[in-house]
Amino acid sequence: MTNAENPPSSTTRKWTLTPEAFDNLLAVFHPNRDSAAQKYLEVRANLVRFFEWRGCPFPEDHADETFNRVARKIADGEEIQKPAGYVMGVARLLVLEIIKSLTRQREALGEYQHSYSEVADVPESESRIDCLQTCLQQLSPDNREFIIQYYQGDKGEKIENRRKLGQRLGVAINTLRMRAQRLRERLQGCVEECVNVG
Amino acid sequence: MIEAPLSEQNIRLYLLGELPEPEQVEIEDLAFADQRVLEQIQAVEQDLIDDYVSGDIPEDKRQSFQTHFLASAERRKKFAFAKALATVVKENTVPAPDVAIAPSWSTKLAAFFTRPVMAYSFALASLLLFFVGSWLVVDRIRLRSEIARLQTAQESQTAQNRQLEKDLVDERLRNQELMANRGTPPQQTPTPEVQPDSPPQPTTPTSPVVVAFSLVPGISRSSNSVPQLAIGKDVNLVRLQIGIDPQENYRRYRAELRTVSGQQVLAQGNLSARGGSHGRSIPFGVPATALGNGKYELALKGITESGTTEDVGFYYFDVVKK
Repeated sequence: MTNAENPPSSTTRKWTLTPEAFDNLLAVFHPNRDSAAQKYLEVRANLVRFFEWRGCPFPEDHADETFNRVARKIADGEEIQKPAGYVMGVARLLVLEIIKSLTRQREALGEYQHSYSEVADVPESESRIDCLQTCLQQLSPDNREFIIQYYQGDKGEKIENRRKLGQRLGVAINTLRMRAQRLRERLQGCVEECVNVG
Repeated sequence: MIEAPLSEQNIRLYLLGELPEPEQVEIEDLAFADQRVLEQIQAVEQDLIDDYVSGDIPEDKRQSFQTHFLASAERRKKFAFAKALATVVKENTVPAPDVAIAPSWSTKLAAFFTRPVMAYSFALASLLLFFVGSWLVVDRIRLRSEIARLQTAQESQTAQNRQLEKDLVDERLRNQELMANRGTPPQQTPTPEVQPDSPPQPTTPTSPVVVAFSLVPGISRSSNSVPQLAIGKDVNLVRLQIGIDPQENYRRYRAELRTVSGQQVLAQGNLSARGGSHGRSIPFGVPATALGNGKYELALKGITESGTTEDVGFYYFDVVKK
């Protein structure tokens, strides 16, 4: 990781998020603190997705930086009527800064343009496969069979498999897809936990 | 402007960072406003990763995938997971479902029962039924053999009872015959088995004289304290009181009286124990004429419910005739 990949917010980070500033930030979302916290988490999850979709290297950090900037605006006396939209607006400005920084970095690297697939920050694939086998065994037999059938085959064969699977189970392709998606997320969570422990 | 619903192609372009800014904003606004759009994007994201892993996306898109899509560590974890999933799926390939037409209700029902969970459940239920059925068959066979055994025992008991009754009748006849020979009325004692060759004793035609004699268990043949039974000339009947342990609980007993040389003098079955102030005892009448001078052994046996006999005890006494 190079310095250029860090969130380009060195000047704004001089301002520190105090407990009082965070309370004021929460209060913008809802007068009730519990409801405000719930809304805050919901908006933060969307921010993380947003930065990930936009190809930013540190979605979690960028989301926190976004909230820091919003909290600072509130501390400076800004009145916010629609917090979710306002936060997203700040995030869009931040993403432009990030992209500009990344572009400068890539131009500097020239022919050594960064390719993330070569970044070896993902744990050993063998242990990941072992963990996946273990996690599959933890699924119910029908879920295990389902996930294997859903993902097996090459492109054309896979599409046909899924169509037949949907017919056999009497569900639409979209429903089938959502079921596979949820099972896959469960499996991935299990695998990450397993890899980190191992 | 993107038309709703979102096309998969547009979502792919968005995820690869290849859409103009306004269209990206529009997709994001839709995703954060509608959970279904969010899930659609996540599903396309998974498919995109799988296609990259299987080499099913064009080269120009591969470049975007590497430089844009894999920017975050979280995405790289998803990518690593997809590679592992592809490997494991290949290793665990199962036959593809063979369905050509839309399923009818019966097909759906059949599909329900052929689901792995149901299949395992039915296999388990079948196994359980097999074991229960086998157990029932074995138990039925056991019951039949038990009934047969009980029937045999009952028949044996009946036969033994018949034999005993026959013995009783025979002995009564013999007794009557003996008494007739001696000119005395037959004794009203239960089933005496008098040896035919016992020497007849002279009796008087008056009322029979009875002498009682108690036998206690636990005295051995060689003991010095073997009790002595003195029988006067006028005695007709010896009533032996065979003492038994209070814990003996046979419903019927059999007494066998014999000389020490083993010659049987008298045997009697169907005897019952009586309680007394000094414990339990079994009365056993012996005609005085059946006894001569000498040592005697009395074997007492208990008759079980099934008709078999078990040794209860042996009693010894000396007879002196006066």
